[in-house]
Amino acid sequence: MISAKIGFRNLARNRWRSGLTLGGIALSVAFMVWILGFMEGWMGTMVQGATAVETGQVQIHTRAYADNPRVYRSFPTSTEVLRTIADVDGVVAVSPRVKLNGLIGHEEKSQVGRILGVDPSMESETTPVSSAIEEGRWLQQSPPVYPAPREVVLGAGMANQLRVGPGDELVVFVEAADGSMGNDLLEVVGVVRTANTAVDRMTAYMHIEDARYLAALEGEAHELAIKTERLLEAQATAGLIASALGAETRGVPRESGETDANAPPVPELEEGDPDALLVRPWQEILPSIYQMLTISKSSNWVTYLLIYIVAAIGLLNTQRMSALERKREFGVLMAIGMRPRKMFRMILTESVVLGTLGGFIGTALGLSVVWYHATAGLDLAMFTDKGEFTVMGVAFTGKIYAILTPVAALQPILVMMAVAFLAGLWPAVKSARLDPAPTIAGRQ
Amino acid sequence: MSDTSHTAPATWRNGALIRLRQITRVYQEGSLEVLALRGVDLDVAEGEFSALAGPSGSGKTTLLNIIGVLDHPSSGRVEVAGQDIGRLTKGDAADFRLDNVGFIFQAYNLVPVLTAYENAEFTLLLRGVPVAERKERVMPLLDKVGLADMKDRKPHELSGGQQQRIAVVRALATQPAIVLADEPTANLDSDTSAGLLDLMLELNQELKTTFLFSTHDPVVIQRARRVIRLLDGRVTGTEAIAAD
Ligand SMILES: Nc1ncnc2c1ncn2[C@@H]1O[C@H](COP(=O)(O)OP(=O)(O)O)[C@@H](O)[C@H]1O
Ligand SMILES: [Mg+2]
Repeated sequence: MISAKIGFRNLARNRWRSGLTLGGIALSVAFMVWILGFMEGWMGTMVQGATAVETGQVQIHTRAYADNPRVYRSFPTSTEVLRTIADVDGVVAVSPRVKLNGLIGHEEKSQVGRILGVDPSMESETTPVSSAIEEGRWLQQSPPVYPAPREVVLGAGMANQLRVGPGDELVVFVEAADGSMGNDLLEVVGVVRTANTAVDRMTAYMHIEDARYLAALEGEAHELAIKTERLLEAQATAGLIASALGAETRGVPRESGETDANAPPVPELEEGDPDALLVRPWQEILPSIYQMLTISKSSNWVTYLLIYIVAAIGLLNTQRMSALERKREFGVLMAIGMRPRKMFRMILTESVVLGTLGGFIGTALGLSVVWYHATAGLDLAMFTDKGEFTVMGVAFTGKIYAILTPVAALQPILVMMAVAFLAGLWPAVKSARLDPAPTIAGRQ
Repeated sequence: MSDTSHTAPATWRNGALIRLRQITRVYQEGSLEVLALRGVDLDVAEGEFSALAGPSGSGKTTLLNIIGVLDHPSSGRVEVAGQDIGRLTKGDAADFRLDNVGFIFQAYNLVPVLTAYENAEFTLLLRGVPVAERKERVMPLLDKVGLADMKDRKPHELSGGQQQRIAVVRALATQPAIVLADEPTANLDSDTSAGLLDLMLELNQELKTTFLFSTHDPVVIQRARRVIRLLDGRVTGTEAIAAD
């Protein structure tokens, strides 16, 4: 008690020094809180950006298609299969897709693109594509009957490239599953601009029945894209889906915790049925994104370590200076009967008080910045001249929203308290080891 | 921690409170040996009010430190309050000091961030004496030294003499067997020195607490009841001074 009193009053007495140290600790903690909250939002946005529009968080293909996508490597879809998947815990929606590569254009301009045949309502529930309509409208649930042209919705980049908009007509040529060439007349009904500009540059959306007709894939699909409730639990959800379907998985941890991301790559077309269904989470489908997340998580540790080391040095310096200045005072206190252990505790208390106080201030500061960036967002695109930024081939527009997690709120202050304890140890030990007689005489 | 009262153990009640036999203290200064004490024999009886007088470097501080277990002799035997204190561990030495010895130093006596009252009760706090009892013990002493109305001041708001009086209160608050004061007046002017000494003498008479203080100031020496002369680490003589 008395040591806490002395500690607090000493901190108050050296206002400048305590204030500077406190400020340094508070800023370190605030920065840590912010960076943890920001990283959480950044990673979420990264994965969301990479998965939400294009892939969903879990996908199902045939094993053969997963290893080498070919138009004929499709599988039959049935409403039972779709319902089984939709009933799995953690699954939000599922969308069957036919994926075709082809040439799309008109007399003056044409472009190689990807035709994504989707069920308009199922795709809407799985990806935000239909709400990203910039011009025109989304596909109709029942496709117009021949001889009316088939509907197509273009990504904004492709529409721009072809200089077409709603109402314009296009011709499409695709490779069909039977080896023939399918071609047809399309009418642009809408243009979408999603958060992923790479997708927008190459994708044209058609009704799945139209795409099946074009590619001779009656009742078939290349892919089931699945939206899951929780991004980071996609691996577990993939496992559940696989067991519900009796399908195989890849990239799903065998035991909870360990992932096989570091396992050697599965050889192409290893033994087994090439038509067997394979369920894969986004970590497996987009390994580059996943690796980047893993790497940035571990490289963040270096940053964190540096921040705490700098804070620890500041604290250590303050406490050592303070202990040196008060040496004679300590000598007298020990002479009149203060035990070394009590002296040790007194100095350590001061250090921990500084760390804790700075930690609280910093947490409050950091949380308010995180809160601001969680609501207002942080526009990273303003740092580039293109109005978008690209990471690992995934282009993003829009803002990053920080996410306030318990870890971001609690970890920095707790670590700082531990750091303060460690930084206080040395001055505390030095002070407790003082020999009172020579100290009072000014000989030590 | 025991609370030492004024009823002294029988072993030393009628004998010497402090008994030094052939005390030497050799300091190693690099390759040089400094003989601070060269065989000191000294007895101090309970209730004495004695001065260790001698020029600077004669060994006064060293001797007081050995009596107060702040230092150990190189050879010889020290008994204080009937206990051989030559070889106590650091922690035990701290407890011994807390229980038996009151200290007054030349300077840096008080904790700057604590008030006069908080400084005065510090030794009682270390002993774990409850708040009411601390007040009961400290307030009369503060009254006695005439600083009761300045109890909430910080040391820097007090004069040098007032600070030393607070140190006296702190030293006496635990009712120690002995108060050791190393040149308590060295930083005071002669009027203030005389005042502090008069106060100490008064407390010595009233509380029967033994006082042993070092000085080379004639004004202070005059007020001692016994003067122990120290020169080059040896006691060169003692003289008793009759009460005025
Ligand atoms: N820690 C020490 N190391 C070396 N020499 C010391 C030490 N303490 C005291 N001395 C020496 O011992 C002698 C006696 O010192 P001290 O007891 O302080 O005398 P006084 O208090 O009478 O001035 C002096 O010569 C002093 O320099
Ligand atoms: Mg001295």
